[in-house]
Amino acid sequence: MKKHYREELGNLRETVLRMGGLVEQMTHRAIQALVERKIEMLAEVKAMETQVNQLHIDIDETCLELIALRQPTAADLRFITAAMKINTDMERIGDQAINITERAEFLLAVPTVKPLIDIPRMADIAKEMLRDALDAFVNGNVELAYATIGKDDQVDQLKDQVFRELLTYMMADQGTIKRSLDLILVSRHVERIADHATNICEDVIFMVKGKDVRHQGPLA
Amino acid sequence: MENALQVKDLCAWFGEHQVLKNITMDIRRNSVTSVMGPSGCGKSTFIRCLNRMHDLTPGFRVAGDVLFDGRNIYSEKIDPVLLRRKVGMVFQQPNPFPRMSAFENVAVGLKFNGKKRTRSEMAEVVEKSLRMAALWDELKDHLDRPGTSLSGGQQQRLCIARALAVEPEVLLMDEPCSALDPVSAAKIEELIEDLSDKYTIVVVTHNMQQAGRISDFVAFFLLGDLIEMDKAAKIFTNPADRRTEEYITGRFG
Amino acid sequence: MGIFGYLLWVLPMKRFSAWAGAAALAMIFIPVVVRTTEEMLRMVPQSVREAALALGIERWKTTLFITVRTATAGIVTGILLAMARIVGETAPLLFTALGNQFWQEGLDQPIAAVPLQIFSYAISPYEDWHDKAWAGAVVLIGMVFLISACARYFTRVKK
Repeated sequence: MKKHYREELGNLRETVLRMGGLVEQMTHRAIQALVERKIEMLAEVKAMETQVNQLHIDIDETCLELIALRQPTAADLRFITAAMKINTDMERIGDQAINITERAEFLLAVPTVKPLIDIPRMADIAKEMLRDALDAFVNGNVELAYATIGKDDQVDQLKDQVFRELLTYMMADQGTIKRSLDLILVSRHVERIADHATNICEDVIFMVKGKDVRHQGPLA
Repeated sequence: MENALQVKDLCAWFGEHQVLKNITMDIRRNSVTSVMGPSGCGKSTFIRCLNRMHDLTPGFRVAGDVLFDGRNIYSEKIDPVLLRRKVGMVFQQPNPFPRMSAFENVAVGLKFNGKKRTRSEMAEVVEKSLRMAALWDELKDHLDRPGTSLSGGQQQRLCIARALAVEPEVLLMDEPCSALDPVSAAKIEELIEDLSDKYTIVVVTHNMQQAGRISDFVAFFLLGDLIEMDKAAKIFTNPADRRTEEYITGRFG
Repeated sequence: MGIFGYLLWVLPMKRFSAWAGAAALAMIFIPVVVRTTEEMLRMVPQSVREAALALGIERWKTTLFITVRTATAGIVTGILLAMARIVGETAPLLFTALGNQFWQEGLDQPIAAVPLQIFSYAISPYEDWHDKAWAGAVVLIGMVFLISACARYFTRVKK
């Protein structure tokens, strides 16, 4: 009846991966709905969120049980604590995707301010970062984690670009302020997603090398 | 049936001294149940009640029921000898029979339990039991060595193989790892996890980390009372009773 | 002990005999063996008995096949000690088996025994009989040694 320790660790890894896949999908769908103006897609995102929330609880519970029952040490301990932190980050990514759908609900009800170009690009990079972060987690790939952290700057720059661009729209036409602000917020949500992906990478580096790279300036 | 053993209001006395007080618990089939608690809490006494090992202890008395497959093992109709073939036991100190080879040690239960078997049938059972006890690969070329010449961990696995050879349903283990080094203990723990697919296992341990690693269920005893029994995950993350909490966090005991 | 044997067997049977000698020696032998055997069985750890009981082996089988087997070495040693003890007994035989210089015709007749022979040779006045008594003693020692060696060989613990 009792599962083996290694097996349990393997299951945990798979569950984290599954949750990662779900939040990536949520992000993807939310942005797609916004870009392609398909309001029916938003419901899909919300449906996925319930699953993500359940996984969030499950993963924390599994980690807690593993720590309580198995007294993990060294690499196993770092793996489990990393899984817990990554779990939190993924859940937040899911929340950001939900925030995007909420903006989208309003934005899809009104005419567009402008064709969306930079936001989908940001989202593509953020999704790629998330995917790579999870790959790095599964394979313990530190190089990939470092490379992924490096991409965060691109997302930040795009966010600033979106902000500046929409600012001009707002100054030109006050009627676009509400819509523009919402778009700015969407870009902000995407940027947060990339930040969470960065956090995941930092946790992966700690998990593999036992080295804490947070709060040490760019690519310490 | 879901429960291999059901204990109802079990009390036990050594002379005038009551060591178990109204223990009631169900032991789930094909699972590992750990009994833990500080020294003198009655945990060893308790599992010895489950296969009537106390029958020969002078001054020992029990009251209450222990149902095995729905029948009370303390009823007069139950032959304790037959009961013990179904409810085997492994002890704290590895105790292979001296002056017997490893092979004989495993075969001995079969040899004396009535049924005639040919040599090859015997060898088959011995091999199967040793395999289940994860000892076959180490021992297959040394089956004629005396059981007592093996290392401590091997001896304990030999004792487990010996118990498995008579095909019990339940395996009682009284601190099976406490006399072993950590590596041997880890092997036994792994073995316990493997065996729980086929057997109902009750382990007494005062090592709560071990209880956490191997158990599906944990029962916490204190001074002859069953304080709390629940899933291992529940006991070790959020026990219901304050005394359990204090014990597992090392505040007393 | 010899006199006791004499009273018990020789008088009622009205003759010295091998049987009477054997009975007298048995009376020395058996208590010693019983006592050491009991001690040896008691020394078998409780854990061994428990292990056997826990396998569903009946109590009498446990004692007969497991406990005794565990204690074999000790029991054999006890028997050997007792044997060594009686091999040299002369006095009881003097009163029961008597000794016999001639061809043995049956176990109900007086019988020769090495210690008796040594005794009668040793108290004889002849020098060469004394030498034979010494030789008898060597034979006796040799026999005890041989029995011990055999017993040790058959009860050895295989390594």
